[in-house]
Amino acid sequence: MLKVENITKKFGGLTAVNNVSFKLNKGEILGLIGPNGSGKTTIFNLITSFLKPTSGKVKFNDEDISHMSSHKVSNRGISRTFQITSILMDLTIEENIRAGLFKTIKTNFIQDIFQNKTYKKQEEKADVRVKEVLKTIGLYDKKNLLARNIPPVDQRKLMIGIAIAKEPQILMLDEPAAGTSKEEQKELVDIIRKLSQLGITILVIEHHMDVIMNVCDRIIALNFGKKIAEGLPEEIQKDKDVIEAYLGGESNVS
Amino acid sequence: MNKKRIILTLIILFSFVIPFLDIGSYNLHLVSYSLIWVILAQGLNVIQGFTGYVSIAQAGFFGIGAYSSAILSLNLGISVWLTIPLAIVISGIFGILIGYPALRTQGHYFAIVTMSFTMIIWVFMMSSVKFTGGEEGIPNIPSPSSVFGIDFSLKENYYYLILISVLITILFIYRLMQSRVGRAFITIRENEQLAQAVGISLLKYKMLSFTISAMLGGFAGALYVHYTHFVNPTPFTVDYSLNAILAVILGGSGTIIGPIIGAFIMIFLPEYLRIAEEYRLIIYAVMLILIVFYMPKGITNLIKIAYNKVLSKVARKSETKK
Repeated sequence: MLKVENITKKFGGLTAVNNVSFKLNKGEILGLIGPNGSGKTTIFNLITSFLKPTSGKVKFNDEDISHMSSHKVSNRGISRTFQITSILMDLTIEENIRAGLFKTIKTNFIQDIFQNKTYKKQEEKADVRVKEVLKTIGLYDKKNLLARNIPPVDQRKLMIGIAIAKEPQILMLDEPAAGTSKEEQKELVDIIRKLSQLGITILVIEHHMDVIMNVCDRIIALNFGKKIAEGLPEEIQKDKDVIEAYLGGESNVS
Repeated sequence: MNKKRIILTLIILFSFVIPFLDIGSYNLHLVSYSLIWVILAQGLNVIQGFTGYVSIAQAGFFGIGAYSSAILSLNLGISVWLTIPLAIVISGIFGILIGYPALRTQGHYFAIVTMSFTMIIWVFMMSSVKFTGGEEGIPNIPSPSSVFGIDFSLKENYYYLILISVLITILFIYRLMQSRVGRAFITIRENEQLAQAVGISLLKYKMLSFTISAMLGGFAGALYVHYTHFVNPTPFTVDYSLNAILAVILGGSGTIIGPIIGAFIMIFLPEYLRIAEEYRLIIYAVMLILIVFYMPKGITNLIKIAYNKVLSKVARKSETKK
């Protein structure tokens, strides 16, 4: 479905991502792990075209998307979240999800201004979808609150909600559990599993080992911009290079 | 919701009877001029308030609309009913031409590019005497021709043309902000990165927003010029761009009521401070500073807070009575 082919990104003299290749298969949950600065987020930015690769390609359904603009990549069906909570703070939860439906609502300018039948039908359809998404992420009861007034874990959920609103084929989560407690991480894992069951293919970066080992079908480990291992969670846990690089010698991976 | 409807209807009804009230021709002139400024400020609010880019180009578009309609009607003899829409289109084209380079920049740079544009337009108005009459300007600009026996050379009748234009503009903005396009503007204002991730083309929608604001600026200019029958470059300097920005901020940027209140303040306040003669501008400046300082979200927000307080007090009183 998504193929990353020999992708390299250099910032001046620093090689952030060095000749990395991998495949994301339809329906799976693939994890990206690695110490800080190992190039995980850079890979996300390369896939979603927020950065352009120095060399190499990203192919989505056999189409090269590595030099497309970001909004076009998004409209092809690849949604993403950000490491830093990135939501519309001064809008309500409901309005946030509606912002995610930008491309799903199909009206033209004239229809918008005259608010004709097509406009009304499309907006009603959007209402239904907003409700559906809010229930999926468990924020329906808080829909009228301002995004800035809800707890951080709900903000993380909201960010996922915005990303899935338009029913993407691939969802890319950049540290979904950043800044959350163990309890809250369980809620997020449940949401990620639920999304996978809904047929969304997921690529996830995560630091919390509990989350990643629990949720992923397959894992890719990076260090200094290079892929050092790829395999099932159990295999990665036992991989010598991973233990050495990622855990700095510690062996209590669980 | 119903209460809001009633208040709105009353305000609109009141605005229709204003020419019948005995407020004097000078005050009627101020109201008309304020209403023209409402259109100008509503336009600016689209890019500044809803999309988050403070543009210093609004007086430039005001000028382009004014001169376009004046020259087309006077020199080419085209009906004013046609030159006003044409002026809107011409301003829109300039909006696209300026927006394309300007919107690739952000923050201060965007302000500088749009300010330069206003300066260039002003210099052009001053210096191309053949075309614009230079500093002396263009006199004898025609009124719109009579329709159903309504003579638009009378200020009282022209007032209704302005009023209806304002109502159409406000309805347009209101509907725009209820649509996916309006929501795209707000998403861009709040978070450009997220906007891209959601599939919004930044350049396209910023351009659209800027062009709409330019067109409304031009609309205001065209209405202005057939009202005063005279145009020279004076009201199109950078100062007036800044006044328009102030009108939006004072009223409450990113709201629909804000620019209406702001426009009236910007026109009425300096006029009514004339009693204070030489201290007028100082008092004016101090008042602006105080408003910006203590009401950063504008007067609309203050009214909202006051309104909610009154409501909760009324609610509490009725509760204690029970």
